[in-house]
Amino acid sequence: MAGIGTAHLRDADDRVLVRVENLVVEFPAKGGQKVQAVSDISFDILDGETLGMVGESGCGKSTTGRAMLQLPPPTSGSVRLDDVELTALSGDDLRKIRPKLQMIFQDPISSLNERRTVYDVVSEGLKIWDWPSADIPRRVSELLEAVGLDPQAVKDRYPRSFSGGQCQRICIARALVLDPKVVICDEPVSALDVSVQAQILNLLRDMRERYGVTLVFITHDLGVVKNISDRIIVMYLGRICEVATPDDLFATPAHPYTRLLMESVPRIETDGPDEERQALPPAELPSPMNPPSGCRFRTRCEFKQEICETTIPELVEVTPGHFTACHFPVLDDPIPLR
Amino acid sequence: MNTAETADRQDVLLQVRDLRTQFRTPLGMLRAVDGVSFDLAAGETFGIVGESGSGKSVLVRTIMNLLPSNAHVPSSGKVLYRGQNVHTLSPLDAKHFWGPEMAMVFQDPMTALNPVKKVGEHLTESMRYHLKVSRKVAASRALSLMREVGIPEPERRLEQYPHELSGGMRQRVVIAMALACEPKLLIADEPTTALDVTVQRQILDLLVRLQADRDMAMILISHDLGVVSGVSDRVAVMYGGHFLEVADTRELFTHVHHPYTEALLRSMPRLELPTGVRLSAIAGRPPDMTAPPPGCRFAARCEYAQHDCEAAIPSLRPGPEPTHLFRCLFPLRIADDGSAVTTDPASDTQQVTA
Ligand SMILES: Nc1ncnc2c1ncn2[C@@H]1O[C@H](COP(=O)(O)OP(=O)(O)O)[C@@H](O)[C@H]1O
Ligand SMILES: Nc1ncnc2c1ncn2[C@@H]1O[C@H](COP(=O)(O)OP(=O)(O)O)[C@@H](O)[C@H]1O
Ligand SMILES: [Mg+2]
Ligand SMILES: [Mg+2]
Repeated sequence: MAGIGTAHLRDADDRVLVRVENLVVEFPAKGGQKVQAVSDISFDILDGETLGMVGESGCGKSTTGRAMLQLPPPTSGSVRLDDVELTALSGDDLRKIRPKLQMIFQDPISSLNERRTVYDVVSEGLKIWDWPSADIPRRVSELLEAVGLDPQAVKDRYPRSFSGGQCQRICIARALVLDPKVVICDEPVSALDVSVQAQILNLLRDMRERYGVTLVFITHDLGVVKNISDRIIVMYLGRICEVATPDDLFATPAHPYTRLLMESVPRIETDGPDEERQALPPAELPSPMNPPSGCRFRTRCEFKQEICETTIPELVEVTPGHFTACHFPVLDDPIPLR
Repeated sequence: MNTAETADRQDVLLQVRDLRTQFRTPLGMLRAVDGVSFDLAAGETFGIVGESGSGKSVLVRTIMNLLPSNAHVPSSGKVLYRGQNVHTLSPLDAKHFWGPEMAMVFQDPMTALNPVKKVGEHLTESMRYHLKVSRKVAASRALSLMREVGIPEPERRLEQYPHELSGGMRQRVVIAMALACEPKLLIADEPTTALDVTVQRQILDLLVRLQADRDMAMILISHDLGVVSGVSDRVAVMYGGHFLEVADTRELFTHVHHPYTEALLRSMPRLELPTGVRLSAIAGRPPDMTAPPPGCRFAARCEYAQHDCEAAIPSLRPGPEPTHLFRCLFPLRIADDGSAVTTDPASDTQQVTA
């Protein structure tokens, strides 16, 4: 299959915790069509690493995260955690592996059941997994404290009496209580005000150190993904455009889409409005039911050539550890961050 | 009086004076807007930034006289548009006011669009009502508005329904609708918050261009300092129902005087920060506006707060630069001799105003 490549996968040393290969997720749509949500992507995550996944809405970030958890299982492809092939598991075996993979969502308030107390929410997993009941209260208190809440003050309260930031702390406690290996965080700070967002980002950083957990951090926000990640995947319309460390990615973005994203981020302009600014032409995102042939970004790309229409670009290493899937990558042309 | 007046600015379009908006709620009277004053000159762009709940939307809805029935606006507060009190307009006069004088764009374009009406009808309707133009004239103006807001294939788009357009295209249509009667003032409340970053950029570029081309005044609201700074001549930082700091954009970011503004800037995960730095979060949460504290609204979260800060609300006063106003007893970057200290780019505060 003309995939987009696996050059960026690291040698199968023991530090690779998760390995996703040739992941495809399609959803049935009207008239026998298919939504091509994720189209043949591969990536790996080292133990303890934070993998950032960034791109605009609809590019397949949430679908990828959920497919890793087999929610729903992918259309094709492989998802391995340690040496276990998750796509081959079913029923009870899949259930048994669940505690190792947890998820945190964008809207903390609605992802908590409003009729259950904080204690119920955080202890639920422990009860399901048959923790000795004598140990449960201590474990719940430990987690609540770790996420910056006073266990005695909060344990009998209901989610509605908490702010969005506090609800996200509760969700983080719930996700960590079973000592997972991987936590998939899907836009966990996107609904929060910037001051609270900083609190939660710092908390996730602390939790990563304290519990050694591996994170997949999904966001549409470039500043957030730069701040939290060890390695970043940029996605567009179900495919990977670029993979690099945050330093490399933002110093020398090689894919035209990454560059467009960076140039679009509103920076603090100390001089006020710039009326001379070259306005970007309006551009429409192609339909995921009928994505462009070849490079999916070509319909919006200023460097487009014929080959972009005929041939899917594979991920190639442009500098050590920095990969991009583009026939005409932009090399060594930094975008000044001022 | 504590105002953000700019008496030396000519051609004042809008004067807002000590505006207060209160809501009757089960928990008591909620002071959503609590003493806002400012002037807006014709053609000027004024940005208002603040976290959610700070009162931004209620402020502009009060200016537009678009409040729900549980709202109370004490008559001591005034909104004067070219000297005319907007709150004492008759309902008929008010109708003629929206459109040709002031128009508004909201965060969600669907709130302004009727799903069963074609794009073209949305545009021609208000022109025919307010400008009393013929169907033909309205149709040709609709087409040129569609071009002006950068909608590709405008003829075809005019015949489509809102759901057939992407979010960015819908927001362009709403902007075209707002412009249809050539308002002197455009109020845009988080117009790009629901959009992806590349689309946001397009809409912001569009607003800057339209504002300049038409010499229209604009109030732009956002929770994102980056968004307002790139569009506004002057910026107000709102918190707990009123402005904590107001200044020309460049002045504000080179001499941040209010600790809240500084704290906001420091908590942003800005792209120019080095990878992996720990952000300076602001502990605590904004005040409960049904029972706001008697003193500075930010004092409880402020690392520089002193005892005096809790006694009374500090007045909005000028510092070294007369048009730069702040509501703080212990402002940052003002030397003992009263001069402003520019942020030292080499110091730690580089993160703040670099
Ligand atoms: N359950 C579903 N059924 C049909 N289409 C879906 C479903 N979930 C997601 N999609 C589509 O898949 C694509 C990717 O969606 P998603 O993974 O949610 O993107 P992101 O999280 O990057 O915004 C989008 O076109 C979306 O509309
Ligand atoms: N119709 C209403 N009834 C009661 N309270 C309201 C109403 N509308 C807004 N508020 C309250 O007024 C305050 C300011 O809200 P708003 O202006 O919407 O904030 P912002 O736009 O800055 O996020 C908030 O505390 C909000 O809950
Ligand atoms: Mg998503
Ligand atoms: Mg609002």
